[in-house]
Amino acid sequence: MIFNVSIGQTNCKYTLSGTVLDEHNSEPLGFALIVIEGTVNVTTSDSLGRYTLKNVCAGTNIVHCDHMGCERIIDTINVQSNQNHNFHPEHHVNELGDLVFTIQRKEIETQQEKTLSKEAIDQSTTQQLGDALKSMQGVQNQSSGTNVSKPSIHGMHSNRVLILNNEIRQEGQQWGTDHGVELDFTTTNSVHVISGANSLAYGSDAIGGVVILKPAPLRRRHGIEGKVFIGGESNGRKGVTGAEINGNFKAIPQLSYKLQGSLKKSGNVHTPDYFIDNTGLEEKNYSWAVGYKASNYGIQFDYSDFNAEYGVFSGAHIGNLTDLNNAFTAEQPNTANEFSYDIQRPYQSVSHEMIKAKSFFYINDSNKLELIYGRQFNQRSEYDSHSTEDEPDFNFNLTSHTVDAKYTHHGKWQHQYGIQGGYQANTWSGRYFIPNYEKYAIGAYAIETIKKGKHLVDFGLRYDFNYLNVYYYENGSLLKPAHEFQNINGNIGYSYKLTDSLSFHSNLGTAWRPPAVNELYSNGLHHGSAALEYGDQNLNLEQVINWNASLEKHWKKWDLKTQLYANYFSNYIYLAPTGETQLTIRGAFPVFEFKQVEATLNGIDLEVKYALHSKVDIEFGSSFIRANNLTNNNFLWGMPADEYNSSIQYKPNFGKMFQKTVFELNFQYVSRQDRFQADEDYVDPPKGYGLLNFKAYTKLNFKTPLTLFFNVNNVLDVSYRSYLNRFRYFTDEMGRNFTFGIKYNFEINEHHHHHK
Amino acid sequence: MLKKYILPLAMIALFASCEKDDNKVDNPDDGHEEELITTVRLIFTPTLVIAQSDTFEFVDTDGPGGNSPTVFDTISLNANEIYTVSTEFWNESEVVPENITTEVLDEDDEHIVCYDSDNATLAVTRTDSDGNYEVGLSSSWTTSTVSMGSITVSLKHQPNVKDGTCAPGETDVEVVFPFKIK
Repeated sequence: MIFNVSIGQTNCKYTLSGTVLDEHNSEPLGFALIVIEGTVNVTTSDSLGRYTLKNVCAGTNIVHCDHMGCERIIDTINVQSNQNHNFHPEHHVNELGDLVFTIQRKEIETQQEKTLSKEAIDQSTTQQLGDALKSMQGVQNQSSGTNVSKPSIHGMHSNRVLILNNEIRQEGQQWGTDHGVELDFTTTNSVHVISGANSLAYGSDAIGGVVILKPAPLRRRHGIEGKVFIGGESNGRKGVTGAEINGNFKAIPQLSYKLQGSLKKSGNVHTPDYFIDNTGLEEKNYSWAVGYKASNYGIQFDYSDFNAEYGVFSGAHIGNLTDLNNAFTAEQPNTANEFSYDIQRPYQSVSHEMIKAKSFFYINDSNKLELIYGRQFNQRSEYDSHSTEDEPDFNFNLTSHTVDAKYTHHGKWQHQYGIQGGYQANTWSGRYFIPNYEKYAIGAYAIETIKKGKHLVDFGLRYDFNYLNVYYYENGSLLKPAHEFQNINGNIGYSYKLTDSLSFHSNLGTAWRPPAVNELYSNGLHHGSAALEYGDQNLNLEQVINWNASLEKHWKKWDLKTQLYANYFSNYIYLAPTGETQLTIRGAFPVFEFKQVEATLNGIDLEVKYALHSKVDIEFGSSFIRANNLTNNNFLWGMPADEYNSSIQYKPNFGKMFQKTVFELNFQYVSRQDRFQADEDYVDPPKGYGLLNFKAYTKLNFKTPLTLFFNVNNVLDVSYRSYLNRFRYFTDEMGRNFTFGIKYNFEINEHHHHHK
Repeated sequence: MLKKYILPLAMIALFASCEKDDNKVDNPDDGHEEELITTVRLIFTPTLVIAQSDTFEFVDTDGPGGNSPTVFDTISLNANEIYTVSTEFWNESEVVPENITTEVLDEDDEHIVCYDSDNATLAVTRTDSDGNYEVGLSSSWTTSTVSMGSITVSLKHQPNVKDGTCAPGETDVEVVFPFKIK
């Protein structure tokens, strides 16, 4: 490049000015560095994000904008007059180089959010989503055996928790607990859990909360970066591997791409005493993305494909109450007690495909439009232990389309207006469990935020309409009943941030969901559980009023984080025992019916951290949930028991070579759930248990870093059963498990001219 | 020039790679359960006197749940008799009833039929074998004095775990027939 600063020349008389705004929420970004490539014409943005570059030459200028914690933006600007140009940097957790920025933006300002650190995400490489999130206080793993797991927030899961993966609401067969979340957690770059019904912008039905998972954003600098990882677990002899490359074209700096894939394989896991038969799994996933991002508009396409086969513990496949009784009185399951990678019947085969198209456009400095379209196709085949043919016993296909249009205005008042539409079709074959249906949904919301000094207030309204058309045969004739549900949600939130050391949030809001199709139409013997389950076509929608308040305070050595919450339902839907039994060819079965009751669900999460020493931290956490069925004056079924966590972290300094080295010893105690209704379950909740876990993590500071971790879960090889595992009737949980992982990050830079 | 093509190509690739979903939402299946058993049929032939065979059944044509069983017989037998009994399983939910007995027989090394009487006046022994263990589709029933009781007839599915006893596996059928010995 030619050194072309030539003040005084007639062609370099123009002024380039504009604003640097956060790509995500249009917050102004101060202290961004703006440079014209190949010149010393440099400036920084002021605290309101404004910048001015004088003496800009006419013609094509390549302008860099750098902001701490963000990807560099390189825009090509053709200057013919005084010009306005805005930059929209995207926050990016940069893993390369020795500085790691962990600036976490919040999704909702007036809400306490739970996040997983980058290190915790690394250490979850080999795990399923539910397992990965359970380290957060107030979040539990709701599971069916070892392979099927989903997060439970404050005792709510499945249809009550919205999972937003890469900005698309994850649609699967999420009714009940025997279906997992069909996504590849190894693509996840950040995790936010919002507990409470305050997420109007994401959907009307986030009764328990929202889990927001985001992949790494596309690279916006020339060159290629990527990662390769392998991981393993001793228990189940699991292996996980994957790779991701993220690149940007030098010739077209607006164009970026990403390619990713992962493989998982595991065999039978073992408890301290025996192997759990047929618990192997196999996953093959890949995804890609292409994006074009100019300074004020952009478009991106994403594709992902998830394929899994999960063995189902053969001892959990029971025919009737006698089998169930035999299973839970047996010292150990009467199944094969050996290791094998083979996945035999019974098993589930699931695939989930997602395509996404997103575009955004900045109308001007403070107004942004976004349009996101997503299509998901979820296929699930379940194979019983019975048939010998290769045909599944039942098969579901679920196709979902979602459209999300959003307008945001940033100013003294921040406006957020959006419309969301959705269509979903379910078809099945094989044994009847739930009917075919079509679902149409439309919603519109408006959220206003105002910030004044230390105070921030937001409030919003949302209206939703749902139409469900169901198709099924009864006694040979086709029935097509339809259901309509509509409602309004409201939310008001307040946050007070005195300094970085004290903040307070409080939120009052509502959320509602239409009854799920299984709650309306279940009819018969539930696969694997010894119960006859009947839906009720007259169920009404379920609505919650949620209040939560949280306080975060940091002293010199102490850190305190606490959240209090209260939920009130006038119409909580649950599966209630009728007290009747019905005679079948397999014997008599108890009859359950979906019912609506008045209920409350309240609790508290607490986290305290104390810096014992500059290198040693002690942490204590606990969560308590109290859930009551006010109609029966009894307890709500299936709630997480009281939980206590304590850990000690040692962060040694092994010199420049090792970064972020942490050794952690953690003891988790989960008490027995004593709040249960005796006639609602076959067996009383299992006894409490304590688990000791060990974690070690470090980052080797090569030119490109190498991340290593080694964990031991259930160090003492304790036999226990979790109340939140549907298979607690049949088997103990996994015993001691050694987990390791190695991740190599690389970067291939095409050198471009640097300003000095 | 490159950028002109990459996005349209990406779009085509994106939509072309979509898996197909079937569009028969409004034309659902009528349901078909593999190996649904609706009927247990016991055919009794006396061996000490010459007489016609007797048949006793449990029938629940729409499977578990839904309507109640349509036939639930009391097994009525003569005192001091030995019967050969053949046990049959049927799926009568289909227009053409399906004989499940043959499927059990095909996989006889994974199945066992168990008979558990609560009164010593009725004793049952299995008389057939899969080569290693008894199967129980054929059995011999011996009655003594006039009495009443109940007998549990169950079909166990025991893939890889069959050991000649009734303990392992999954229960496909469990019917408690009342019996009376005249």
